[in-house]
Amino acid sequence: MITQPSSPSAEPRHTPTEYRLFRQYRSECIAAAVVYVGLLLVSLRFVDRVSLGPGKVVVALLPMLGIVAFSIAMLRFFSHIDEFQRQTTLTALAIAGLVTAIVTMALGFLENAGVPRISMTFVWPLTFVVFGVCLPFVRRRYR
Amino acid sequence: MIARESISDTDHSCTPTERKNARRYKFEYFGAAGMYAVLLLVSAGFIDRTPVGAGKVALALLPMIGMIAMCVALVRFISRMDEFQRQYFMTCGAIAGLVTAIATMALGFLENAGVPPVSMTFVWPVTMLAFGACLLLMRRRYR
Repeated sequence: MITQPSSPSAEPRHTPTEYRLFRQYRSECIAAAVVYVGLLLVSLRFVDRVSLGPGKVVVALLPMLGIVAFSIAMLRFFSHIDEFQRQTTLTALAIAGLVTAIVTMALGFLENAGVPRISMTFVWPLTFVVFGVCLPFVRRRYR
Repeated sequence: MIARESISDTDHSCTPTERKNARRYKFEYFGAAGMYAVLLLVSAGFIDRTPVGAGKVALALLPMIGMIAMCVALVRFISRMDEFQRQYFMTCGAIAGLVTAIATMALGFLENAGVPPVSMTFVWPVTMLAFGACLLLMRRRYR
């Protein structure tokens, strides 16, 4: 059993390469978020004025470019981090997917009891909140 | 000769332990799925006759017991796996979670274009279909 260093400063938590990756990931995420918010505002403003048809669908789906950009940033980050980090991150994301599936199923059944339908846009935040909550726990367990 | 042996090993792809674990999972999973189906029928059969209140909510959520049993079976199955198998299950789970989040977000945006909101019960099948498809693709890739 390897003992942990007694003081946290004895061993830096991340290597310079990791810090560079974090920084790069953060700037890509911020760029994706800006694209998303910009496109969302454009989409919400014009979607009501566009006549029914493929054009309306395209305008409604416009913010998806930001979502896809964010997902690409995430996948790029996953492909660069080391094996241990990748494993913990993927485990946390898999748990988040399962928890999301369970919670949405419960919400779906509540619709039968008269609870009004919720927009599907709530699934993404739910997944990522659970992911964020799970990540430190998974890391601690594997350490 | 050694190379031939290793090829035939990967061709069989399952050790007796893995096969036993898979059988156990199948048994637990179908038990849970059977329970889910029965509880769903009970819930759907009586929900309209139950007055609005805590009882109706409890009746609506009844099939969740089967759902959670299915998840417990899955988690137990994953915990019995070896490191390598677990890792690729987790990767598939993470990809399924991400695909679900993206697909539901697109559906959510389509609501702005006038598409009626879809029931939350569709999130689970999307996750599980993505998971299954991913497993098949990954298995082919690692073979």
